[in-house]
Amino acid sequence: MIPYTIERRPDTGVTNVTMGVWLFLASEVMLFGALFSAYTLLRVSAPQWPHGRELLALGIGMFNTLILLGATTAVWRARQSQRLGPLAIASVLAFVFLALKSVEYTGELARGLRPAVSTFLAMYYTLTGFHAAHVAGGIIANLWIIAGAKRTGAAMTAGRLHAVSLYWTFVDVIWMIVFVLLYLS
Amino acid sequence: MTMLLVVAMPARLFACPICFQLEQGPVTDGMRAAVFVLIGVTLVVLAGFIRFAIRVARRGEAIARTEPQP
Repeated sequence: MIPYTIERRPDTGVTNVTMGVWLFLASEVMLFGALFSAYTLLRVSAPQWPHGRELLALGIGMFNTLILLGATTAVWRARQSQRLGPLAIASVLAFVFLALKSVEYTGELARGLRPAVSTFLAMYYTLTGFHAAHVAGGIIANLWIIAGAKRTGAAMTAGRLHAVSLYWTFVDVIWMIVFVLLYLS
Repeated sequence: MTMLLVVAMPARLFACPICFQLEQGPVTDGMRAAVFVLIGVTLVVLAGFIRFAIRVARRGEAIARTEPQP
């Protein structure tokens, strides 16, 4: 049994669950930082850079932004109310996000917009693909919390809801940056 | 030892031409900007770790002060 999963550690002031998720998010910041650094290198050194708003499905992208914001709001609602209903809604919304993303990918690939065509498209598929993998990971985490809620009890579930709310906020922030860099530029 | 390496394998010791004496242009601009982005991200994360370490140290001292001495 890992200590301080429910009560806070006196020296850190947080539970080990919160501590763990912050360390995980720090490593995630470094991962996406490296990807944004690669984006900067390719964009600044490129003689020509296409406008994402002309090339990509901006409408789907904007709708997906709202969907993702709605999912994160639902996760925060679950954290504040200590209920699992909003977490299930968040999971459904996140699944809709992935479904729309796959529709978008299918449309782009059908138009010949493959990653090998340009560095812009290579970065587009890399950044959005990594982000989509994180959304999928968030859905798995949500379902894991819902499935284990009865077994673990209210106190442990509260800690887990706190952890996923931080994670989903991170996923939202990354999407905002990706959306601005790729869709609005 | 270093001198021996310089004589034996000079090509392995000198900086690669991509980074060394590269002419100014879009590639160097891009590389410079990318390095700044990565340094910025790294500094933010490191600042977070340092802030957390200071917080833990202060809390630890506060706990030690309140605990009864044996």
